[in-house]
Amino acid sequence: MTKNNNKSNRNKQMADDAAAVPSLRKDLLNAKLFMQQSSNDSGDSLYDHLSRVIAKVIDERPINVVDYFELFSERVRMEKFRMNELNDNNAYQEPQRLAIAKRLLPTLIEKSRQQQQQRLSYVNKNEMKSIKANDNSEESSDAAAADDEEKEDEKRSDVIYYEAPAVKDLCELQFYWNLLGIGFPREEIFLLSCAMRKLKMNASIASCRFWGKIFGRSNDYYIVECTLTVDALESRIDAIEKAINIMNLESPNEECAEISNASSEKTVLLAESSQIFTSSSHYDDDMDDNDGNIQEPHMSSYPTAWNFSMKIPETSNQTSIEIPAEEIGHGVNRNVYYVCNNLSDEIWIELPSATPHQINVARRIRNILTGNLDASISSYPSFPGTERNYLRAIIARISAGTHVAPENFYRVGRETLSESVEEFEGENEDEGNNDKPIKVNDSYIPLSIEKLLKLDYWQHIKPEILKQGRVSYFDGQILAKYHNSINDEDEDDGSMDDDEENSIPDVKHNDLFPEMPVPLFASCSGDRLTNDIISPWTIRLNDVLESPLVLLQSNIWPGAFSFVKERICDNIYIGFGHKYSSINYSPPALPQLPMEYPHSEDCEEVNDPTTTMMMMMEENENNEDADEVESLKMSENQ
Amino acid sequence: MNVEYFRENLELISNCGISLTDLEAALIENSLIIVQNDNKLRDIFFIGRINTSSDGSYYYIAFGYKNDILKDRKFFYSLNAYEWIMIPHVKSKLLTIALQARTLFTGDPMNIEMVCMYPTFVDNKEIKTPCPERIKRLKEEDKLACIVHMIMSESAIIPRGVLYRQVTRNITYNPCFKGLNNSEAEELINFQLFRYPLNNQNYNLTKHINYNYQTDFFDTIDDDVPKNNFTHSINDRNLCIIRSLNWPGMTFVHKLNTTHQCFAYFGNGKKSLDVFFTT
Repeated sequence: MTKNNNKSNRNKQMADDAAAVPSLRKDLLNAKLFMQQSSNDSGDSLYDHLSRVIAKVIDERPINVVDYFELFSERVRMEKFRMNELNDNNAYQEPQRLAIAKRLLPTLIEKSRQQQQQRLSYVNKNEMKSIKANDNSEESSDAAAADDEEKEDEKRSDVIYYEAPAVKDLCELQFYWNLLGIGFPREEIFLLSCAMRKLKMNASIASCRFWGKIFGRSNDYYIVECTLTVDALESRIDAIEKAINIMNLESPNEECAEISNASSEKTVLLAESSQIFTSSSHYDDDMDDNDGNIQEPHMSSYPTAWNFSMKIPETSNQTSIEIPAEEIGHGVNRNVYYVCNNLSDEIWIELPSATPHQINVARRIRNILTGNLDASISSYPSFPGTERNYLRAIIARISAGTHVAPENFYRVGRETLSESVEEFEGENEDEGNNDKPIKVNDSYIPLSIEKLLKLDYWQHIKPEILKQGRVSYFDGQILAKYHNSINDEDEDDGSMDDDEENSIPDVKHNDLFPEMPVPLFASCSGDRLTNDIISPWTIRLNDVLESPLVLLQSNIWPGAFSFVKERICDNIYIGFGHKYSSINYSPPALPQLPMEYPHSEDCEEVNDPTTTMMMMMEENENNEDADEVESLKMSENQ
Repeated sequence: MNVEYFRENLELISNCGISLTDLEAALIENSLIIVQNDNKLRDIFFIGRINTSSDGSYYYIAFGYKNDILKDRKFFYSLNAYEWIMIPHVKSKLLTIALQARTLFTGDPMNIEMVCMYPTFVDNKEIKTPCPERIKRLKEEDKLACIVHMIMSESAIIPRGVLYRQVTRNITYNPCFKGLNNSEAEELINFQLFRYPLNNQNYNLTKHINYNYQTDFFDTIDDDVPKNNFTHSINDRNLCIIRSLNWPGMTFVHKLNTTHQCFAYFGNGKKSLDVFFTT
C-alpha cells in the first residue's frame, strides 16, 4: 500500500506540474488517480484488481475468457483474499485425508506383513520337506511319523485352497458382481475384505458372507451374515436360559396362568390369541370387530335400570400370549448379522435377535434408516425397539424373500448342535417344519443355461417367515387342542410371498389353524405378489465370460440380486430396505373412538336444578320439617 | 453423466452399488457420441436406466443440449443401448396420469396402459367400480417422457456453481467451477436442483450470504418439498453422495475439490411418496 501511496503522490505532483490547461495527459492522469482510489471496505483498488486479472489471463491463457469474464474476475478476487488468509496464518495446511490415512495405514501394514509371513512359512515348509527327505534313510521310524504329519498338513492346506464351493472369497464374488454391473468400486471391496477378515478372527464365528448394503440417511450399513460355531451357540443359549430362569423366579409367568385357565375360557382366549397372531397390536382387534353386529349383544345385556350395584362394564383384561422369539441358531435367528458403518473403522456391531413382534410391526411400517443404530424409530404402529432391531427385522424379511439358488444347489444339512440331533431326526418326517439347516450340495451338477433361464429351476433357500413372525409355527397349547378337533381343511396355500402386508387374512377364518408354510426349497415360479400384477423375478443373462452368468433380479425387493455361474452362487442386497408395492405406503388408520356407555330408556337426562329451584326445595323441606315438628309436638302432648 | 468423461463418471456412480456392465457402457458411450454428432449437440449426457418387467430389457435414457442446458434439451431413449429414439414432448396433462400409473414399464413403447385415476381404497384394498371417465389411456412412450421429466426436475442435482447464466441469458457450464470443498459440501444449501427455478429468484439468492447473480438463482435442495427427501453423506474418499428418496435409485456423486460430479438413475421408474411417513 505504501508503494501505491508513493506512486499516487508522484502522479499528483506530475499533475500539478502539468499546465493547468486541459490536455490528454492530464485527463489520463486523473482517470488513473480515480482508479487507484482504494476502497474503504477492502482497501483494494480497481487499478490493482484489473492488473491482477489481466496478469492472470495472460498467465493462464483461458479459452473464451470473455464469455465468463465476470466470474473470472470474481475468482481472482476470492483467490486474493484466500492468499491473504494463508499468508497471515503462514501455516501449513494438513491434507484432508490425513486422519483417514493415519487410521488406515496400520491395518494395511499389518496385512502386508501377514502376507510376507505366510509366504515365508510356505517357503520354510518346502525347505523342511527337502531336509526331511534327505534324512529319511537315517531315521526310518521317525520318518513314518513325520510323513503322517505331512499328510495331515497337506490335508489342511488342501482345505485352504479347495474350500466348499459356496464359501467363496469376497473379492472373487465381487468380481462377478462387477461383471454384472452390480457392486462397489475396487477400493471399497478391498477395504471390505480387510474388515471382514478382521471379523473372521473372532473365535465365535464359523463362517461369514457379505450380505449387502442398506442405505441410511447419513450413513450406510455394510452387513455380514455369520454362522456361529457350536461352542458359541451353546454358550449363548445357556446364557439366555439362565436369564429366563432368573426372570421366572422373580415374577411368575402370566402366560402359564392364562393357559391353565384356558379350558374354561377357551373361546375367548382363542379369539384373542388369534388376533394377536395376525396383528400383535390391540387396536386392530377393534377395527376387525367393528362390523357393528358385535356391539348388539352387549347392548341387550346392559342393565335396564341405573343400578350401580349390578354391573359396570368391566375392562376386559387384554393380556396377550406373546409369541416367543426363536432361540439363536434356529429359524429366523439361524444366522447372526454384523453391521459396520465405516469400513476404515472396522468396528463390527452384532445385531440382536429378531422377535416375531418386531418382524410383524416391521411389515406394517416403512422407515428410512438414519445410519445410527441407537436411533429411535417413530412410526405408527410403534416399533418395539431401536433402529438395530428394525434393521435386523428388515434383514430377516429380505433374506427370506430373496435368497434363491438353482435347484439342488443346497440340501438339508444336519443340525450343528449336538443336543438337537435327535430332535431334528424326529422332526424330519414333519413336512411342515422348515427350520432346517442347509448345506451346499456337493453332488450338484451345474444346470444348463436353458434351464437356469426358467424360474422353475430356481428355489428359495431360506425358509418362509410365517404370518406369526416365526419360521417354525408356535402352537400355544390351546391352539393345539383346537387344532386336533378340526383337521386342517383349508390351508391357505396362496402366496409364496413371504410377508405381504396386504394379505393379512380375516382373523376369524384363517388363523385358528396353524399356518402351513411353503416348504423349504420351494420353486420360485410359485411366487407372486398378492396385490400386484408384476412378475416377482426378472432373469438376465450375461455372456462376457465363456461360461455365462445368469442374474436373477427381484422385483419385490428392488435391489436384491442372485447370480449363478457353474458352481458359484451368491445373493446380495443393495438398497433402502423397502419392499415394492404398486400403491404407495399408507399408514394404518387410527383406531376408532371407544363407545360411550349406552343409556337405557329408564335413565333419562335431567337438567341440573337452578339456584331458585334449590331455594324452593329448601323452603319446602323446611316447611315439611316444621310440619313434622308440629306433628311431633302434637303427639307428645297427646 | 457427461459422455465426454463417461468412464470417470461411471467409476463415481458405481459407489451407489448399481452401474452398467462393460458391454452396456461401451455401447452407450460410442453410440451416444454418434447421436451427439448427428444432432449437432454441444454436450450429451447419459441419465440412467429404467427397469422393465419384461425379461432382459431396460430403457436407457440420455439427453443433450445445443446452447442452453435447461432450455434446448433433447431427450433420447433406447431399448438396446445403441439405437436412440427421441422422447416425445411432455404433455402437462399426462403428468398426473403417469404418476398414478401402477404397473411397471413393460419394455414395449407402443403398449397402451389403462390408468384408473384416483382409485378408492378401503383397508389397502382397491374398490373396483366401473367408472369410465376415470380410466385414462396412456401410451408407454408418453409415460416414459413424463417419468423422465419428473425424475430430472425433482431429483437431478448439481453442486452450486457448476452452471451459470451468461450475459446472453443462456445457461451453460461454468468454466470457473473448481469443485466444492469439505465445509461447503456439508451443507445442503450448496446443492442445486437441475431445473428452471420454481422459487422466487430473490428468495433463492438471499439464501446465500455471498450470493452471485450468475450462479445462485437455482432452487436448492435444503428446502425442497417434502423436507429431508435427500440422504447426504461424505465418505472417506472425499466423495459426497446424495440419494433421492423421492425417486429411489437416483444418486448424485461429487468428488470434492475436483470438477468430477455426476448423477445417474437406476431404478424402476416409480416415484415413492413414502418420505412423508418416514420422518
